[in-house]
Amino acid sequence: MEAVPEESVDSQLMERVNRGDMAAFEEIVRRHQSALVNFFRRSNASMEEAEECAQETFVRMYNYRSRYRALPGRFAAFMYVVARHVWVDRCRRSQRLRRLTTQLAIDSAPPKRPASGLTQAETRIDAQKALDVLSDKLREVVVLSVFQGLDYSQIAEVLGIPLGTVKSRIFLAFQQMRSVLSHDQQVRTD
Amino acid sequence: MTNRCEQTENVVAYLQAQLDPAERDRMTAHLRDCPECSAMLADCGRLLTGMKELPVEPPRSDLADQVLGEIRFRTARTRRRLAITAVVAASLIVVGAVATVLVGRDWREAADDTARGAASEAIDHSEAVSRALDWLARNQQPNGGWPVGKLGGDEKYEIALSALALAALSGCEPELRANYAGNIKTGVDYLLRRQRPDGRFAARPGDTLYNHCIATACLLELYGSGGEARLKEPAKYALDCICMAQTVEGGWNYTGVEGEAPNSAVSIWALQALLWGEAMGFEGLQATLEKGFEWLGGLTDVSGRLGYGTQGDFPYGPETLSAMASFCYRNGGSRYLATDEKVPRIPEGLVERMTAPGEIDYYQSYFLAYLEHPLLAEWKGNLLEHLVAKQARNDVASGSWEPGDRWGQTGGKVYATALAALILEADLRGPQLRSWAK
Repeated sequence: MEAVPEESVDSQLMERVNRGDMAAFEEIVRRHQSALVNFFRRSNASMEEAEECAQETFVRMYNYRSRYRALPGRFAAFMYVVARHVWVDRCRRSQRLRRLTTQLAIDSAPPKRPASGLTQAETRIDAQKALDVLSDKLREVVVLSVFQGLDYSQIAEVLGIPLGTVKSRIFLAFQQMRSVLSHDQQVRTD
Repeated sequence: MTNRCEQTENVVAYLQAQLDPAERDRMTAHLRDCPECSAMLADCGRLLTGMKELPVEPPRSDLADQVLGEIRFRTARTRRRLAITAVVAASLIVVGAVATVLVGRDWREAADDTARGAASEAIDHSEAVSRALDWLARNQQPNGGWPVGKLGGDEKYEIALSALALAALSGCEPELRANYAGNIKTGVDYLLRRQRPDGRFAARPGDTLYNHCIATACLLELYGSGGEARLKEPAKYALDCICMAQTVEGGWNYTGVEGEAPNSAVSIWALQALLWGEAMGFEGLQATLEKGFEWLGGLTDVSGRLGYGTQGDFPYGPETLSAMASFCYRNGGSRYLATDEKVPRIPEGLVERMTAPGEIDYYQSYFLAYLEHPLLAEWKGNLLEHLVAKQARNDVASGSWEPGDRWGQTGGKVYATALAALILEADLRGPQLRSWAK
């Protein structure tokens, strides 16, 4: 017998939650708490903030449970829409939200011509450093795509942007990260 | 100027399998012939691998309990806010109709004003209640009682104060009460083990009737709320004991010893227990109640003030006794007081003489907080805010209150904290108690 796909399990659990089954929601929390905490950590939250935001996300998901519709790929999008709102609210409160329009202009500047031949070790060690240079807008697409495993259509739904824009932002993010790492390598070899 | 291959923008999407089949096939073919895109593919591939190898940090502890606890807390808070709006608006009409407390202006006008105010200003004290109940739970002894003597009070009143602590633990919203199910059970076991063959709750020989009457009232509240079958027989024996202890005058005294004069402080607790018992279907209490209220009515002067041993006898002032009697009247006593002259009233000018902020008379405040009279609404709002502000928030004392009133040395921290919690629960617990008033 085929294993039930992960997304189907979550959808089934949410249907049970909508019927008043708190044990089902408890299972949802346990299934996704690590992913959510890491989502916020990758978004530059401290561990304490990440845990608080993860809790708040789950509570809001429960409050919004009647809005959830079990369609393919919907659970992840549902969860990260809520998570993103929690994070934006948190950033507003802590006044750490940068002006995204200005940052987008910076993000659009042509990247440095990359050198080739980044070694495996160098990319592994410096991946965090590369992530850190990204603006919030570019970081969030990378986090959702690379770390949280959402496909581009889900990301588009979470962020409320066209699919093409998701692809562009991810490309831009990788370009910047690549140029940061190659610049570092250039410095080391000079 | 750098001419970038127009296909490079698809490299990462290709890497992440996000291209449709046709685009994917075109890209595969393109990569064979484009060094730029191939180089980017290799670098981005290593970046992707590097990022996926970054450590994953799980939460430091399982979040499920906290999440579910927060959901229960917010759900209960929402229900309480809605209930306050409905209950205050409705109950103020009932208050006026019963004419329990008659002070000053037209009660209908005042009821409308207060209902509108209450609807828009429902105060959320649930966190303070939760902290208080946590303190009570932490300080409960393994035997189920509370160590009143070790917490600043007189151990002679351990039964009464343990009963009030139990009432506080069970008087909160159901979702919160579930957290203390074990404490409540242990506390009930403690009371039941201290019931003597004659039905009296006593921790030691000579234990006062005062303890017994309070314990009986609290036990009946538990029985009436949860319907736990094992409480029925102990409650019946406890009520029988109260009936047997009624003096020839019609009231009850402190010790239960024949010949000692009755006083209203003990009698009101006795009458309240009997009223709740009657409401819950225990039979044979009517004659005792009629005689008890006949006696109590005789202690009320023309101003509606209740005396201690006789009319006009106010060793501790008239306010608390009058408030106690008003509470009892609202919770079933009205069916036994035949005429308006016998209805106890809050003395005129009491609102103006209310204890100033900074002084909390827990005992008096408890009865007043449950009256829901419109002219007490502002006072009650200030009291609740003041209680929350005075609650200890640090270390082992977190959740408790300092017993700074005149009964503080008798009751200690258990007295102050149990009564403060019961005051904060008034909006939730009050309607339940009044539902037993036929």
